[in-house]
Amino acid sequence: MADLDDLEGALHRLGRQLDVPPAPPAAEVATAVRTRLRSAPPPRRPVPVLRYAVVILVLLVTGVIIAVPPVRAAVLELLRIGGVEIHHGAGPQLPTSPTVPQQTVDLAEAQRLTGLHVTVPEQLGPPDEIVVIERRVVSLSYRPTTDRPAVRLDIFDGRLDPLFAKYLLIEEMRQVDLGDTEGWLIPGPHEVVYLDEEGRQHRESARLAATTLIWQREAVTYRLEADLPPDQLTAIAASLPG
Amino acid sequence: MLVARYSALAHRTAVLLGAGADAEDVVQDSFVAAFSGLHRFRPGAPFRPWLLRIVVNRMKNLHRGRSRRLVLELRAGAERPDTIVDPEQLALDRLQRDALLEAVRSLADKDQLVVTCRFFLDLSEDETARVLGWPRGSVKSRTSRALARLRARLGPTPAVSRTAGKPAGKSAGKPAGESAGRSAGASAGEEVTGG
Repeated sequence: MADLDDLEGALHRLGRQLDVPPAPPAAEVATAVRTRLRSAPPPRRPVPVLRYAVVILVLLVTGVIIAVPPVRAAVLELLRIGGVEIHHGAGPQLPTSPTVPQQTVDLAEAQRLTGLHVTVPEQLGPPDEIVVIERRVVSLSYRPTTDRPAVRLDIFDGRLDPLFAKYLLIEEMRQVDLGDTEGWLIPGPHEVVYLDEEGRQHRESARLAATTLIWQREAVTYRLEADLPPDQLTAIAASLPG
Repeated sequence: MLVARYSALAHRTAVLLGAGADAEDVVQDSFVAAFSGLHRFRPGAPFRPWLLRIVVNRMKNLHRGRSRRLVLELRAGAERPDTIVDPEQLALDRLQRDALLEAVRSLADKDQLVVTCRFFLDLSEDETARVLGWPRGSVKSRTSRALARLRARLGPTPAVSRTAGKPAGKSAGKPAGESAGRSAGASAGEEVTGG
């Protein structure tokens, strides 16, 4: 927080540095919540009405139609890796939504705006373009060269809200070893949508992503996308200074 | 689904509001309350502030035995090593960060609450109003009052760099003018419509 003229920015950055013990994995919380719901005393409202209300509301809230008991559906039918939500199946029909604010910046400015520690994969060198989306995502773009196709690396703090939603068949995902951490490899093309600060999905950002590698290091989630074989993606990931 | 999407934020909210070791319990309890109370949830309304409101209420109950009010728990975390920023800059940043944190801690409870919601939890004005159960106007006025108090407490920027004992010439570079540039970033205008 170099200057306090931007007090609001400084407060946002301070927020990211506050001491908050890591949240337990969502799956663990979901299990605990399910157990509590099962053993919870029945609510005061008439049960059959409540059941219907829960089904309808869960469907409205999530926009997902799943024919299993509502609470269970609401608790677990989603996988989350860092700041990326993985949905099983086809993508949503999206309403029109406002454009997401984004700006092209240099590396220092990207770090200042987001408070993220951004490094560049050594194998790729300096990117052709750096874009900051909503002060939440730093997106490094590399134009295609004779040796490789275009590459995109998104860097964001994935601890709180999810920032991207992906729609695919979950069986197609596969876990890969990245040395100090593990990553998830998602073969392309699959549908990917940006989720803004309010959790709204943005249609103009919906697109088919190429093969993608997602991994997390401490607070930061990385999303590396390129039409490259898996071993080359993991090599790029490994060339990112810690 | 909802747990996967919101449990990390609920956890952070509980911790920053002072749940301490009870954070996990508060979060689970809030989800149970949210699911059991889904019939009271207005379709089409945003779920996030609704859930956080439950967390805040649980926290009030938790504190009831002690001081009957929310006690914020704000502590600076460990440094993350940053290879790009030079050590001198890092020392300066740390000093400013600590000064800022201290200034936030010295604010009145309600000012701290609004700062925590708006800046540490990244909630919009609308969401903050829903979460705290305040009118939107109060969120707005209290936020700008809290920011003004912080500015007053922190004083002009050069004073901070002087305390750091670093060459004054290298300080941030911009004059400490009263930048009224309210970040129009969160244009929280519309609401999520169901699905």
